[in-house]
Amino acid sequence: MRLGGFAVGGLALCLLATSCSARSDDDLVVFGAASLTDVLQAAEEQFEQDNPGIDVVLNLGGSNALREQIRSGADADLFIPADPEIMAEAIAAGDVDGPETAIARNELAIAVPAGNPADVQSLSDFARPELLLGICASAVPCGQLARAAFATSDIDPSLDTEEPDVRSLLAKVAGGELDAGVVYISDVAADPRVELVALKAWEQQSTTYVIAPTSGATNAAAAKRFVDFLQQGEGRSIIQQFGFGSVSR
Amino acid sequence: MTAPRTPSRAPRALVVLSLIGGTLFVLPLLGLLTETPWSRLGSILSDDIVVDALVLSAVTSIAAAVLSALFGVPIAWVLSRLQFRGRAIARAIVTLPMVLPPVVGGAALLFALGRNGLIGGFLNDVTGFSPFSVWGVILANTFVAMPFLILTVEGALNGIDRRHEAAAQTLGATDLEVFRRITLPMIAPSLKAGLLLAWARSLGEFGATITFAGNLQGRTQTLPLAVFVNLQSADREPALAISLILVAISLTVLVSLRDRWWGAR
Repeated sequence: MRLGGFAVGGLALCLLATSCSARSDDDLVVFGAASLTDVLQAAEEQFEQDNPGIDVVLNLGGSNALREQIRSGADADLFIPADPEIMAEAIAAGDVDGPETAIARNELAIAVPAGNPADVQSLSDFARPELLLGICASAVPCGQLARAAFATSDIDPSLDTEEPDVRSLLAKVAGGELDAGVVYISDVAADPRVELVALKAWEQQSTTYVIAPTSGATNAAAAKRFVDFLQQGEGRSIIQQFGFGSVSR
Repeated sequence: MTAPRTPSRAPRALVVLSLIGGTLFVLPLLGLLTETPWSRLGSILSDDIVVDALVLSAVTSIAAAVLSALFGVPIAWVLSRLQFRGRAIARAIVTLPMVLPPVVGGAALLFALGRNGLIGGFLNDVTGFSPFSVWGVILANTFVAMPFLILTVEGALNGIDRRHEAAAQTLGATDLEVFRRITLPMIAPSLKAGLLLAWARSLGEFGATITFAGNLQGRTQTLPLAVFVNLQSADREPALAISLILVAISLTVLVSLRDRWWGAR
């Protein structure tokens, strides 16, 4: 009975306190692609310094999974997928308010563990069956781009895993469990335990990150300010520092 | 006990609370059923993704249940019958995966058995073992499933009347004979329950598998992994179909085996 009392009391406290349920009005909730993890964390820090009243809250994951969460009514102010088509679909469905703003570009690259023990030199090494190789699952943009890269360069890859997002792939390469993985060029810069093997020009695939407020955004003013920050303010230079390509204004 | 099986008047509070609690389980099922693309179900179910994951899950979950019994019964016996220093710690360690987030278990397996892990390099040289294989899936499943069997069987071993074992011993049976001919038959119902629990836990295993064995269709992509990955994609229908399969299999097994093994109530 005492335990039951605790449970009921805790539940009541939780319902009373705002911390358990609703977010605070000053929160700016940003749903961003997993490949943006480090750059958005750095941007958050700078932006919060410049705007002391605003607390940026990040939700990072696979672009399609984030899209699904927004469809189901997740509490988001801004959406930044790694694929403009996902954004276009979200705008068409009325879940996100267009027009979107392009803020960064990214290209594929091969990540190998430090020292490149398996001597991976190009995408064609992904046909070597004796290596442990990974890409992202087709459900996320980096997986679709990797598939496209294999298709255009006519390579039949001998894969060992298709990871649910680019960061779990990067982690397996960084830990040396995989000999190579197809990630974004910005990911390679993000982890000192991996080295970059550039793709040949004809193997290359790229994507653009676009940002737009969700139709349910509750913090429109802060959202607008964050978009400006990323597009032309200090955020723009942070994006470049993290190895992303810039987009023409 | 002569008390009637069904109380003549059920306390209203218990019935109301049980109904409220029950909606927690019924509503998600209804949600899944309404999302299911029924008209195209046949063609989706014959999809490569679905068939590959189904076969792989069947093989790996049964293998994990069998391995759990092979090693879990002796562990349970040791924990129940032998007095040794550190038994409490040993018991905590072998049941840890029940509480540990599976993704932590998967990472820990990788630190031990991945090719840069504690013994993974050696293991790979000697046996060719790689986590990114069916064996990796079976290992991850066994890791999370065996504690359920150990706990169930150890409880039974502690609960049975030890005089039967003692009697057999006085009649000249060796310790192993006592275990095989007396102990094992006495705990059979619990062993079956443990097997069922371990199998069910394996079938639903996700976090340890994707962390340790990765995700590749036909090799390591079990049903839960296929659901997760495809739920994220633009085409969610295979994920919904697989979810339906998982519910159907689980319900069928839970209903039919429970009745057969413990008698219908």
